[in-house]
Amino acid sequence: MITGLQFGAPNQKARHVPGRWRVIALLLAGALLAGAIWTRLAYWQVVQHVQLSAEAQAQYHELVELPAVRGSIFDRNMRQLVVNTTVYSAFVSPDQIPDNQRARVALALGSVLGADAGKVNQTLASGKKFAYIARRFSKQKADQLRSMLLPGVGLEEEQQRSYLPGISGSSLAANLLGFVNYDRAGQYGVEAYYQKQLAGTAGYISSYRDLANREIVLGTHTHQDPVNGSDLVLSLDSNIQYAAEQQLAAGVKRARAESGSVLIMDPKTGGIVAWADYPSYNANNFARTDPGLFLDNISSSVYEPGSVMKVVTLSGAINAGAISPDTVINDPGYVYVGGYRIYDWDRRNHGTITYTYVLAHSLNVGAMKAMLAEGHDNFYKYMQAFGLTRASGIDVAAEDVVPPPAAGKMQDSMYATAAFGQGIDVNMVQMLAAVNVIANGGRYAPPHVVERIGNRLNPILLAPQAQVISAATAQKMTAMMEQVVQHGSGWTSRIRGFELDQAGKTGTSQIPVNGRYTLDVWASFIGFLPAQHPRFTMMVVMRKPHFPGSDQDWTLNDGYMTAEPVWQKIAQTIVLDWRITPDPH
Amino acid sequence: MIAARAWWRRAERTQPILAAALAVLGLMTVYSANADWGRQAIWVGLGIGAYVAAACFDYRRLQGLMPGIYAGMLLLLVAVHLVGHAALGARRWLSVAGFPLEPSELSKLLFVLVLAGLLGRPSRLSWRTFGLVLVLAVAPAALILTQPDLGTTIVFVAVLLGMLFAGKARPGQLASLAIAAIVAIPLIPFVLHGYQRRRLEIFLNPYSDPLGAGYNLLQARIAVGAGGFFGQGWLHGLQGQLGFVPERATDFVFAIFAEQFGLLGSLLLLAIFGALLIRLLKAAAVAPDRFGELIAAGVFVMVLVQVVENVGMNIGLLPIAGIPLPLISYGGSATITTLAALGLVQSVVLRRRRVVHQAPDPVMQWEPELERRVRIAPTW
Repeated sequence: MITGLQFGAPNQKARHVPGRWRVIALLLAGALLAGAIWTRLAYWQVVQHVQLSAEAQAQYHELVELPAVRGSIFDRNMRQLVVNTTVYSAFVSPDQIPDNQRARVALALGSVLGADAGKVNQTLASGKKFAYIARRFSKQKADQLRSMLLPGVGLEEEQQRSYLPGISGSSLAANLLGFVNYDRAGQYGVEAYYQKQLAGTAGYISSYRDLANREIVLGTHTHQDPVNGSDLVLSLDSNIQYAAEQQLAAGVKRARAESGSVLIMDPKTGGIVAWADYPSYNANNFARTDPGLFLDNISSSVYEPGSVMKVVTLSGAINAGAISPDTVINDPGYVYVGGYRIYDWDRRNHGTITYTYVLAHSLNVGAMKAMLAEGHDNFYKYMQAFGLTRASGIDVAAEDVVPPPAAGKMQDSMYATAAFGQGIDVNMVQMLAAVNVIANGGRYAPPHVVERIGNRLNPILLAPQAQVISAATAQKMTAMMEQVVQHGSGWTSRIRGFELDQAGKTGTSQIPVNGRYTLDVWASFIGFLPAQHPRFTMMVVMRKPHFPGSDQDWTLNDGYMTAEPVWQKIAQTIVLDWRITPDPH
Repeated sequence: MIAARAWWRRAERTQPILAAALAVLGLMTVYSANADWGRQAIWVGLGIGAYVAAACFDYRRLQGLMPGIYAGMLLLLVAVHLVGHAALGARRWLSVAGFPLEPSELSKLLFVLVLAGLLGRPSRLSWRTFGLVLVLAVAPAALILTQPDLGTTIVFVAVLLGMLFAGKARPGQLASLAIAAIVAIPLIPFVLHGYQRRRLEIFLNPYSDPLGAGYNLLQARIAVGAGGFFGQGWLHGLQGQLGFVPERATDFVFAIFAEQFGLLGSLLLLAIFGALLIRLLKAAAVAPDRFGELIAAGVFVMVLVQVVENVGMNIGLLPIAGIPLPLISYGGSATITTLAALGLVQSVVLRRRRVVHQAPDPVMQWEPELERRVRIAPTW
């Protein structure tokens, strides 16, 4: 059949007309196809590149994290405040548990972990791939579960921070230390502030797997060891901290206050010795704690310092040469400022008195006169120098600061009230650091909690301390503050044997609500001891105390009735614990 | 016989350079796919031999051999059905002196030659010849489709259409084909094998079965996408290196090429193919006779269809069909056939009429068509 065909005969001479348009049509078809291919290629390789790369990585790249060990926290005596412990979580893979085993698995999980058997059964019947049954239980329970060889049940190790116990169910220094959440992130306090240093850097093993799931070695950098976090050494003294928490709790209850705080500082270095809040919480149980308790009243909330501020006002005025402790003024019990009549706390005419008397009896008129004697600008300058217009820089997370208006924007009345500590907002760390200037011979010691990070000294300790007022002024102010304890409102803080060696100042300020002052007060006492060679400066603040009988006489809520006794008891402990002796006279 | 030097001067030199560039890229890619690149290199060597032989051979002498060529092609294809090896569910290979031969690859070129012979008459295509061409085309196409080898069948159909088009089929004839195609489309699902039908479904929705039937397509797409603009670099395409792309040396060679060389490399590769295709078209334009013109046009369609279908299926533009990427994919039969086909086109070019560069001389004016030829013929 093929032979019968006539194939195109070779005919060289025949002229043929080339099908030119047909050739062009073929070319066009080719161009069209090429265009389609180019567009599609660009779509996959440029537009979808990131998405598809991720899909590719997911297929063959495996990254195993090697967690870093979080740094520990020690107090000044190298007592460990935080311990890393291993806890276990149990999970099930319901799809891998045979039906006839379900009852046994549910029963075992229920008996060991105390899980609700009904719920466990429900989970097992769901056919899911993964579900947690219980999280973060002890090794003991984990070992028990392991020995039962349950099918489809797995254990997962996790690190947990354990904090020392404090008083009545809370953990020690909870508000200072904060805690670490389930994502290994520090929350609040030191744990949050030093998250980076404590956490370290996780390492990893990076491996590639081929289609047959065999591990392939590619590249050189496939293994990175973790860098463990640094340990922190605090200036905290856990004995004093415990005593402070104990006495504070008792004091808050006695004064029927809403809350209270104690802050103790090493006068020479600015290192925090104790940082107690009441009520506090248990950092070991943060997951079941009202988040409102995490807030720290010492650095994360501001208050009006009240008469404690007079220490700053009078120190400034003395240092500026405007007054001396013996300067005599007239105090009729009130003074007119900017159209307002501002009274002393007792609204009594005190006649001619000295500034020492003003401080001892906490007279507002005297403080205002001292402020006026040195002038607004000087007063503002000393507020700045004492650190009341800026954050203290304390190395605890979430410091709250409400700086006063700029010097030129403060009204006369505002200067007047600021002179005795009303109308300006400070946090406790700022206020303690300011008064500590007197204890530290006129130098400002920057407040801090951490002395050492790993084997490195906190750089704040190496910087020179700024001289805020002269040593002589500090000496004069110390003498005035001694008078507060010996003859004035500081009498309830007296410690046996130290009566002549204590310096202190009370403060009581009304709490404003929506711009109006209420009858609720912040009552505080600040003092250092021994007066000539101070070993500590301590501040106690009570918020909204309702001392028994105060509905008849609201002065019962004052610092000398509520805050001072707490100060006195804690100071007593420190004196014993640190073996402090009175100055020789 | 033309002297060797004259041959060199007449030869079209761009086309073999482009082909060589493709072969080198092909070897690199085959190497990166962990395939036996040494063997591929041997086949490229054999292909170069075939190229030179075909270029030297006067293609016009093939015209007389047409019945023999056709018979030989059918014989090979029948032999595959009778004594061929099966692999991956299809019976496609013959063993020739220990080497596996894939007749369906070789038959692509033979089919081009047969059609060129049939359509290479100077006059318009008669309806009788048209019918004859269709009848003659059906037998080999059916043999290949039943191997089963859908990809080669598609190449056959495309070559047939392209050559009818270039071979001056009458508009009526083309229209009748178009009508037949429209009638045939609804029948396609019944002709296709189960797996081929599945491929069509997967093409429309690859995520319907990502680990099963859609796996190839998705993995190829991921590899192409992971390449990005600049590519991961040669031997650094992990998707290909770690074996996630299936058939990475043959059908999905473009995917791992694109992963390693990125959009930039892919466009370069396509540009080389494009340049090669244009040279083939130009060869058709300067061919001294209809037979040569149709050979060049047929090889053009053959290469074009394979590039488009292979790249298209790699990037999810077309359904999957087993077609190699000419000169890039691993495979002896395909490489040698492609190079031989290009050599045959070179043979056509070598025997083109002398190009006249000076002003038309009076003799030329006697032959107005020849003058036109000169005007069209590009300088090489």
